[in-house]
Formats: sequence, structure tokens, C-alpha cells
Amino acid sequence: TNRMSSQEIQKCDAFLQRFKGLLFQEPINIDECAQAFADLQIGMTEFQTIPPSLQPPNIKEFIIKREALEHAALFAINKQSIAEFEKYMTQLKQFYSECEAIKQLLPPSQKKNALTGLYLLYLIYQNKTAEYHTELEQLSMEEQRDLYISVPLAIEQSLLDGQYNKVLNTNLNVPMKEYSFFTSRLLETIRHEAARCAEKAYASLELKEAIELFMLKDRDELMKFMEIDHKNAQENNMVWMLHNDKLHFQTTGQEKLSIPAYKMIDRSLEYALELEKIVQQKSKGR
Amino acid sequence: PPPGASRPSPLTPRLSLLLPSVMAQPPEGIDVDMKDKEKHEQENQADTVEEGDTAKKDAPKTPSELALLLLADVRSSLLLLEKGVLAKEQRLISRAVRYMNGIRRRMSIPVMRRTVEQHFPAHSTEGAHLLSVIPVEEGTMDTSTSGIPTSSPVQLPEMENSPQSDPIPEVEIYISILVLMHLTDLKRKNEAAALAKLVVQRVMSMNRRTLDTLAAKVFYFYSLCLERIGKLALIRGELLSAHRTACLRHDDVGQATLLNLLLRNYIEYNLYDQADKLVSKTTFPQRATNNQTARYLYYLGRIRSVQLDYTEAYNCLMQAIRKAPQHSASGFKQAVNKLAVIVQLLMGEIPERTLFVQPELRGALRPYLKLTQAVRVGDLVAFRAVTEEYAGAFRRDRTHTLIVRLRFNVIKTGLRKINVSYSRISLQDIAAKLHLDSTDDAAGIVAKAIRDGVIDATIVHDGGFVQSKETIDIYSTEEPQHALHKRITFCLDVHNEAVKAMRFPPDAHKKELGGVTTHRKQEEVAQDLLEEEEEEDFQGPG
Repeated sequence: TNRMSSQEIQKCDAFLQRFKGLLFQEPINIDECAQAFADLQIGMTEFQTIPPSLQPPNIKEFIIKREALEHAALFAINKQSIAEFEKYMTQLKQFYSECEAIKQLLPPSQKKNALTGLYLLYLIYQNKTAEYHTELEQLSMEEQRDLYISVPLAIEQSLLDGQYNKVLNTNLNVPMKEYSFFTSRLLETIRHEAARCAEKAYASLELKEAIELFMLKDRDELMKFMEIDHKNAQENNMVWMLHNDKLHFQTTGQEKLSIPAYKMIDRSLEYALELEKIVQQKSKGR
Repeated sequence: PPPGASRPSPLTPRLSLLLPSVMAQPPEGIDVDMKDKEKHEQENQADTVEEGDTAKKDAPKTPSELALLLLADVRSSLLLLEKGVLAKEQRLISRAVRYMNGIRRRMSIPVMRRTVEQHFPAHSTEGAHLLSVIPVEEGTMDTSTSGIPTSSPVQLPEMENSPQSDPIPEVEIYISILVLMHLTDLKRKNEAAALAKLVVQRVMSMNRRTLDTLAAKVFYFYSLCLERIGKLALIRGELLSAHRTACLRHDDVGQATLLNLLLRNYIEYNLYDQADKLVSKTTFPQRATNNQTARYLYYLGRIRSVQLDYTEAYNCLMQAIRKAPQHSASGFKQAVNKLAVIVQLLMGEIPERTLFVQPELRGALRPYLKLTQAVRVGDLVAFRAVTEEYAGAFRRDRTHTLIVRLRFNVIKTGLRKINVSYSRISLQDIAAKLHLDSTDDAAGIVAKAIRDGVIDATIVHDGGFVQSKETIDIYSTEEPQHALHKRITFCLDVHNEAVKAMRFPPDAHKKELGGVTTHRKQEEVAQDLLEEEEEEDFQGPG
């Protein structure tokens, strides 16, 4: 167990700073960034005391590793790679949560709220509601009011309420440019959601209303959206028709009412089995 | 202990083994029925250690006499423990452990000190350490081997010579636990935590099956003490490795207790995903006591409720309530019921009013009653008012995050009520009734509700109103079958659990142990099975 010399740690720190610098350059040069990050990672493999190591912690190593992970996550977004983002976030969560002994020694991370908010947004986008709420449990009241975190919270609330246009507004003012990566994608998804709601709820809609509801710009966009959405609509036995500046939603065909035969057979057999057991017990004279 | 004089003339000992309850009462049936009267009668002839010694309550006792009685009780339970260890009779050990609760309630410092002196030889390190940890009572001299404090009200007679040899490990741990219990009761948190740590180390160094129940209790107090001083996170690693060891040794009691302690640990710090992983990777031992199972089910219910799996959470919580002891553990039942109310509301059902009126739950559940009323009516304003008014209480109960999720339920209920009462209603009116901000908001919410199947209606946007669809005949859908199936599975579950829980006294023909009469032993065996649930101490969460 040879602890790293402070010189080696300095070298890693230098790598980190270089990586950060390249990351925040505008416009960003992906390849250079990737190279800098690779250097940093190689340097960090020498770290001896970061988890899951059980050695007493070396604070500098922790700080460097944590910052490296934070910026790696941001970099993954810039690279538009969701898988990498998830990978770095899971590692990063370890540094943010528990480990009481460490918490007292580490200074709080500046980017913590930003990245937590980003992670929450990611969970919303992927529709992982269970994980989203589990994460939410860990946030205190002040954290929830924070600028970065309140954004995904507001989005989730609007989604629940069916106020899809509110999400559009949030898309326009994001606290960090990485957020827009998710919000723009989210917009696509919820447009489809809004479509599903609308076709069930309305018999027909004025053109103007429809355009507003689906957060589109004009009639052409609506036509394009209809084409994209065509398949989904068909699954729900719906057909959209644009007629005289009015959008009609019509059901096609009846939903087949079938007798759930298998389920009933299963259940009846279950009941029969249990009854048999009870009768047998009774007859054994227990 | 003298045999009961009031009994009818005894049959031969052999017969008395077979018909215990017939001996206790005129022949009314052989079932092991635990009516209070029977219990009362048995207790009058029972060991002095048993709870509720009504005979003794007649004359008021001086503190010294009480102390002497307690000393005698402690001594007899330790003797019982030793017998159990020698004969490897788990039942006796469990009984001795159960007596701890009764002793705990009557414990005092002089008795504590004398117990340690009586059972540890003068040269023992453990004994000396325990003595040093016991706090000095006000107004007495420092610890002296004569053990007669001068100005305390309790006068204990001179002690005989201290024992020559070290006590068996079980006795040592037993006494340590008693000291630990007393320190916790005296609210001396730091000393208790320090002592707990030492006892845990001692326990971990030994590998005796007879020590399992005691070891579980030690861990329980260790966790409790550290929780009281707020350092719970530090012992997570220890608990995990102890759990591993318990699994390897097939130590059911230890496994169950440690698993519950770990879950409590994670939930205390809101680490629900870690708790979930733990649950998925471990199995809770089948043969654990009802109390431990009840705790486990409660923690499981909490995890599931956070993960939005409300039906599963509700089942767990209902089972936890059923497994909890009948007459004690009100703190636990309050906590479980609070959570159950919220989960029920989140599922869209309204809890029964009778739940809130039960005497032991009434005070604790009052904020939840108000909450239920607001949700039932669908009144968003009232809901907001209640959440603000009782915010502190909800936060203490750790239900406030779940309650935030209730907001949508309030709106849903409100919408449903409106839909049922009106065949046609304007969006503006809906916005007014639900206290929403604008008609567009209302349109959005109604659209989503229709999509989710909450209400059955269409929105006519031009007219700006909502038109309900015709109600369909419920009986032609699957609803009745679904409801029936739920009830059938519930009844079958209860039946199967009852069958599994039927147990029979082990080895009714085992040879007698010295000092215990035969028919008493039979009653005791039967009573064991009942008391085991009733007497174990229950701590509510938080």
C-alpha cells in the first residue's frame, strides 16, 4: 500500500485543470477533451484511498476524483452519450451520499446541485419514476428550492398535471446548457403524450388550439407531426383527420371485447386447489 | 415454589402431563385458551419472576424490600439461564431473556451493582468494568466491596463471598445487557454506547449457539444507543458482517434482528435504493418471531411506498399490523397505521373512519384524519392548509414526501366527484371548484385524467365544457370478479398463515428438570408460546 506522493497528486490535479479548461471552451473540441480526460483517468488509477478502498482517506484524492467525475458527466452530455452519463453519475452518487466519516472532511462540491438536478431530469426523461422518487427522498427542503433542482421538480409536477405547455417554457430558460439536452428530447416525448391525451379527451379541436396544445408553430408542423404520430394513434384505434381547419379524432373499429379466458381458468384452478387443501386438512382431523 | 394449594386433588403425574388445562380449571375443554382469568390464576402459583404479581401488590413495600425482591428475581432468572444452557434447552433461555423486560422496569442502581458483585469474581476484568460503568447514585459513597451505601434509601444486607470462578458467557452477557438497558433508561447515551460497543466485541469473539438470542439483543441495543447519539451510519459495516456471520451459522434470531437493524439504518438516512438492494439480495428467515417479522414487513412497506408500488406496500403494512402484538407496542402500531393511511390515500381509496377512532391511535392519527377528509372531498385548499399546519408532525413521521404526492390524488378525487354529479359542466366552473389557476390548466388536467381513465368524459373545446359519457353497467365488466378475487386471496392468505402458525409444545414427555413441577411445566410451555409475543419490548421507529 504505497500512498501516492504529493507530486503525483499534483500531476493529476494538473490533468484535471486541463480537462476542465478544454471542457468549458467554446466551441468545444471533443477529441482534445477526450484525450485530456483519458490522461486524467490513467493518473487516477493510482489513487489508493478512494472507495471501495478501506484505507483512511486522502482528501485531495477524493476531491480530484469527485471533480473528475462531475466534469466527465458533463462531458458525456456534450458528447451526447447517455450511457456514459449514467455510468459516471452512479459513481458520482457514491461521493455525494452517506459515508459520514468522509462527509465531515470533504468540502461540499459546488456542482453538486447542478448535477443532481441533471440526474433527476435524466430519470424523468427515461421515465424511471421509482428511481426518481427514491432520489427525491434524499433531498432536503433547501436543496429542493435550489435553482438547479427546482427545474426538474417543476417539470415533473407539470407532467403530472398534464400541463405540457409549461414544460415548453422551462425549455426556454434552463440554468445550464446541459439541461437543454434533456429538455429538448423530453419535449418530443411529451408531445406524443399530449397527443394521446387530446385524442381521448377531445372529439375535435380548432386548428389554432391544436397547434398551441402540441406546442408547434404552424399548420405544416402539425401535418408533419401527424405523420410521425400516425402509428401511435393507430395502436389506440384512433385516426386523425384534418378537415376545414378542424382536427377530428375518430375511433376506428370497436375494441374487441373478449372474455379473459386464461385468467379465469387460472383463477378457478387456484381456488379449486386451495379448497382441496382445506378439505384435506379438515378430513385429517387436525 | 410451592405447588398450588387450591388445585383439585392431583391425578397421577403421568396423566397430569397430558391434561394441563384440565388441572387448572374444571373440565371445560382442552384447548390452550388464554383467557385473562386463567392467566391470572396461573400467575399466582407461578415463579415470582412473572409479571403482574398481584399477590405481592397488596402491601406497600419499602425500597429495600423491593430491591431484595428484584435481586432474587434476577438471581432466579440467571439460574434458569444456566439450566437452559446446560440442558441446551432453548425454551428456558428464551424465557430467561423475556424476564429481562420485567426486570428492566424495576431495575435500580444498587441492585445493579449488587448483581454484578454477586456473579462476577472479584478479580474478573469484565466485572470490574461493568462496575465502573454503573453510575454512582447521588448521596452514596463510592463503590466499596461491602456494598452498603449509607444514605440511600435502599439498604442491602451484607453480601456473601463473591463467586470463585468466572460466570458462563451467557450469564456475563445477560448481566451486561441488563446494565446496558439500565443505562439507556437513565438516558446516559454516551456511556451506553461505549458499553454496547464493548459487549458487541465480546459477543462477536464467541461462537456459541446458546448465545444467539442474547447476541441479537446486544446488537439491538448497540444499534439503539448509536441511533440515540446520532452515529448510526458508522456501524453499518459491522452490522453487515455480523449478518453474514449469522447467516453462515444458521442463526435465525440473529439474522432476523440484524436484517431489521440494517434496514432501519438505511431508512434512517433515506437510502432507500440501498435498502431495496439489501432486501432483494437477502431472505428473511421464515422461523423468526412475529415481532421481528412485523418490523421487517413495516420496513419493506416503507421501501415499496417510496418506489410507488402502493399495492405491495399496503399488503406489507397490513400484515405488519396483524403480526404486531395485541396489547402492547402501540408506538409501532401508530407508525404503521400512519404510513398505511397515506398509502391507502395514494392508492385512491379512503381509509375507514373506524380506524381513526380507536383509542390508542386517536391522538397520533389526528393530522392524518384531517388529511383524509381533505382528500375525500377533493378540496385542494383544505389540503394545502392541512399540510402546512401539520408540516412538523409529517416531517417527524417521515411521510411528508409521500403527502406531496397526494396533491394529484386530491385533484383526481375532486374531478371524479364533479364528473359523477354533472353530466355537463363548463371548464371555468371546474377551475373554480378545484381552485385551479386558469381554464387552460383545467383543460390540461381534465385531459390527462381522461387519458388515465380517472373519469369518462369528453371535452368540447369550442363550447368550453366537459361532457360526461354514459355510465356503463358495472356488472358487465371485470370489476366484480376483480374485487371478489382480492377478497378470496385475502381470506386464503389468513387461513394459510394461521395453519402455519399453529405450533405444538415441543416434546411434551421430556424428563423433568429440577425444581419445576410437571403440570406447571405444561402450562408454562403453552404460555410461552403466547407470552413470547406479548412480552418482547417494542420500540417505535424514530
